[in-house]
Amino acid sequence: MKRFSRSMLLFMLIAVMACTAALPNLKISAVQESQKLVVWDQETGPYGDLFDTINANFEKAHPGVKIERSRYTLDDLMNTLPLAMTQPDAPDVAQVNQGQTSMGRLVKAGLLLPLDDYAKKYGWDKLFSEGLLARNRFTDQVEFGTGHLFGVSVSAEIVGVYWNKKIFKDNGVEVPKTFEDFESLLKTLKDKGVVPLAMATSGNAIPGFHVFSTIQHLKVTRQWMDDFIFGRNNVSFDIPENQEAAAIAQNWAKAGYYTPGYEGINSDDLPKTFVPDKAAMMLSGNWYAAQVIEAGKPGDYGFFAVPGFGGKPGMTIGGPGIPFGISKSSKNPDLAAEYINYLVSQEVADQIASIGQLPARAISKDVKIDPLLKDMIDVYNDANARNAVGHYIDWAAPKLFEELGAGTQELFAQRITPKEFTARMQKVYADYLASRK
Amino acid sequence: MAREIEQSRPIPVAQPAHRARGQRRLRAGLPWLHWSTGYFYLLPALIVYGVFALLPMADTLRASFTQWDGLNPPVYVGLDNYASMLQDPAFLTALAHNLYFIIFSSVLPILIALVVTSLLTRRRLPGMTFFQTALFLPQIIPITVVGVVWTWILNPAFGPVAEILRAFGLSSRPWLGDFDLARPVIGLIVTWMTYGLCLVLFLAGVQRIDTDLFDAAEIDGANEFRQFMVVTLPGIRNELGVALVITMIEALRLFGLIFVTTQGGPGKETYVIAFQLYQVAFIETQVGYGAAIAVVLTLLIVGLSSSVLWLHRRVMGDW
Repeated sequence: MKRFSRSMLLFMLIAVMACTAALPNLKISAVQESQKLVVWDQETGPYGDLFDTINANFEKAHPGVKIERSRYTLDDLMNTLPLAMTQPDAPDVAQVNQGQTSMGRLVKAGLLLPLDDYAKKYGWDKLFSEGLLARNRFTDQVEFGTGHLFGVSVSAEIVGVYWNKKIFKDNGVEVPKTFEDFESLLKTLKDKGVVPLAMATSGNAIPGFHVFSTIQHLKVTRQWMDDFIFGRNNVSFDIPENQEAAAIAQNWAKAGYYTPGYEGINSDDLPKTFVPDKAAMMLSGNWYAAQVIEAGKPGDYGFFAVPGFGGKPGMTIGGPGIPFGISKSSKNPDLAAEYINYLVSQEVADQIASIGQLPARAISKDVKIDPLLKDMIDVYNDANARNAVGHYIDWAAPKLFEELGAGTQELFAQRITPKEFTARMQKVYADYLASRK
Repeated sequence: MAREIEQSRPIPVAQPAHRARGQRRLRAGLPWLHWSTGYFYLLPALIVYGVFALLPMADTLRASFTQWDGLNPPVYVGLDNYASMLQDPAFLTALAHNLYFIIFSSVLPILIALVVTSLLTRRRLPGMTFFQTALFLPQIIPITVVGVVWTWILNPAFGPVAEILRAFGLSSRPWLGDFDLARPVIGLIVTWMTYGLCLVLFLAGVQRIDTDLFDAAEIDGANEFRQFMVVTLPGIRNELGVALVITMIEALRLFGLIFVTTQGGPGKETYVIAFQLYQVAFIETQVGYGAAIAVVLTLLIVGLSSSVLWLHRRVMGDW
């Protein structure tokens, strides 16, 4: 035993020495730290490249400031950021996904800086509608949707219908004005042998539950939707409006309005079921704009919001993009806020639009953009003006994304009824709310 | 010459005595050195292994007794996570699917490999090395690539399988999205991935068998099937055990393929434990519950592989 403990002692001694020897290398030199801004973002593709230009312009306007940018994918950022934020060399500015599991977790741990004062100073509270800012708000008790502001979004997202102008013209159909028109449009196209709506639900089934949720947004009230997302007033998912929406989406599957074989096509391949001329329409978010624009000539495709029942305007799925926040441990919070303010400036908004992305604020009139993107900006601005920008319903509970996907697959395959679908989602939602108490 | 021998004679006697004295002296100074010398050689690897494998494992075990979001202080909940796992329909479904996939990752590949081995045992085909390499290839291709390639192949709109079926006037099923077919289809992809490994193992084993045994059996009048049963099969029993353990572990830790292709769908048809673990720990940020699932999965793997090894020893004799 004595022998053992002595050899263990030596082992531990060496282990400790090895660890401490590595420590000094972990420290980054403190030279000019006051002028350094560490930024972590998750923007990829051409939009991600644009941030290099944006950062360079900011550095030019602020001599002596150096931006150290790290680019991640969303998954990587979400997995790395929480622990990185607890370190002394945490990023000053980082994109933090909305919702309880991402932003809420960081707020709870006291790692994010409340931006209320900066919002007042720079006028962000006037630039963006309260409905949009609410998604980046948490109270001190980590209640979602109200309280302090913890992030500002630079880009926006909107879910609607991409339409192929040539297919519409060839079949003598027009953009619908009411939901009833939209349904008969689907039928007309189907009867003419055209695939009415692009669809792909293998994998995560996002395109499927977006169809359900789009219809749902036209049926429920603003109040219900906000309450559901922010977990307020004990609202239920299992309500007639949602059951009706699920029934409609299910009937469309039964009627064959979706791409044949959609159940076996990976949802990442959704655009491939729409362009070139594969389907008349595709219901999805603006994130596929660049891919669709690339597939044809300018003006080949348009974008509209699914019209409301009886033509009454309703809500549209969408919202601000993943917001930028400031870490509480940042040594340069003022500089960080100035950087965020530059990101939401008119200059940057115009640059974002010019590369085919949807900026969170209106753009200048003289910016040259693709007609498809112009449609999107119109849809977004219209919804924003009516306070009708809806939500991604999977935000309401962490398990909902997975369950909505699996549930939609079963709903479309006619294996569960609309009522079973909504009841199951309600159970997931209620379980989550109960677990938070 | 004679003198030399004479002189050298006492040396073998003296040497051990001398060595023993030296040893005793060394021990007197550092009594633990002799015992622990081996550990000094192990030390570098042990540190790396300890820091990157043992410590995280211990940490996972500790986390499994807590409710923890991965960031804020964990709350100790005892065995609650394990108790709720037994009542979690998602976990039980996943467990059943993992066991189902053993058929496709172990049973089927081993049977296929045995048949091919029996056919190839006594004949040297030209280009044998090429075949072995080609058959082993699915093992080497990164799992993400395997998944992406198969989603393309099986794509019902523009995949080659659908094209071929259409050429024969048949319509394609939505393979990976079909509630009845998705699980067996994923299973067959797993079979495709693992049978090459079994085959390479078995062929290597066969090469070690003394060819005289085959000749003797043949002289005794054994036909090819009989030869396979009495010579080949016992000859590769060790490889059989290795293949069984490796492929069963493969079925239990199945993740990458599911993640890339079906994400557990359609519905929950291809939902497996490792995928649930990922969802729970990293998407839902219930790290404590995720850790408990990881512990159970580890125990399952260790338990199943040791019982296979134990059975193998009982049935097939020692290694």
